[in-house]
Amino acid sequence: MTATTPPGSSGGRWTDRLLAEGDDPDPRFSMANERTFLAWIRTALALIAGGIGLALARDLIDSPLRQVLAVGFAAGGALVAVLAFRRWLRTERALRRSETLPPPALAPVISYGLAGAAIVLLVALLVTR
Amino acid sequence: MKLRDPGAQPERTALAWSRTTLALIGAGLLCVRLAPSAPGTVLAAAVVCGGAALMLRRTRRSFHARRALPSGAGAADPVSIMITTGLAMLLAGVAAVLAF
Repeated sequence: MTATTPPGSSGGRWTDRLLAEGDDPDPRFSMANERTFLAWIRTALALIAGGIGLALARDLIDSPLRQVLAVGFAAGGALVAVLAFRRWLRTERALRRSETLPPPALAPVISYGLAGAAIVLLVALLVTR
Repeated sequence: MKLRDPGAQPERTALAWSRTTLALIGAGLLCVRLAPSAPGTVLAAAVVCGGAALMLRRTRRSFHARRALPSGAGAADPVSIMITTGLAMLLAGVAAVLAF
C-alpha cells in the first residue's frame, strides 16, 4: 500500500471516469450494492454450472439437444453476469448523484426465462426418452 | 439508539466476496479435472488463476474498507466488479467449449 494513493480510491484514471459524477456515497450503500451484484453473479454461476453439467452429461442426453441446452444455459449465465454488471454501475452512479435507484429489470428476465427453460427441458426430456 | 453497524457491513461484504470467489475457483478446478480436451483445460485454468488473483485483491481491499468506513470515503471498487464479471463470462465460455 503506497502513501501516494488516498484510501478508498482504486487509483486508475479510467475507473475515476467510470464513477465520475457526484460525491462518494455512504460506504454502507456501496457495500450493499456490491453484495447485490455478487448475489446476481452467484445466480449467473449457478446457470453456468448447469450448462457445464449438461455439457458433460453424455450418457443422459443425446448429442444435438445436449449441446444446444448446455450452450443456452451458459449464454444465459453470461447474459445475467453482464446485466448484473450494468445494474451495479447504474446503481452506483445513482447513489453518487443521490438519484432514484434503477428499477429491477433483471428479476423478471430470470423468472420468465427459468420458467420457460424448465418447460423446454421437460418437453425435451419426455420427447427423447 | 445507534443504527450504524460499522463492523458487520464490511464483514458481510467480505464474506459475500469469498463465497463468490470460492464458487468461481471451485467450478474452474472441476472443469480443469473434467475437460476432455486441451482448450477447455486451458480456459478453466485461466478461470482458476483469475479467481486466485481476485481473492488476493479482495483481501487487500477489505482492509481498505474497514479503515474507510468511519471517514465515509468511497467503498466501490469497479476493478473487482469487472474482473468478477469477466471471469463469469470466461466460465460460460468453458461450458460452451466442454459441450463440443
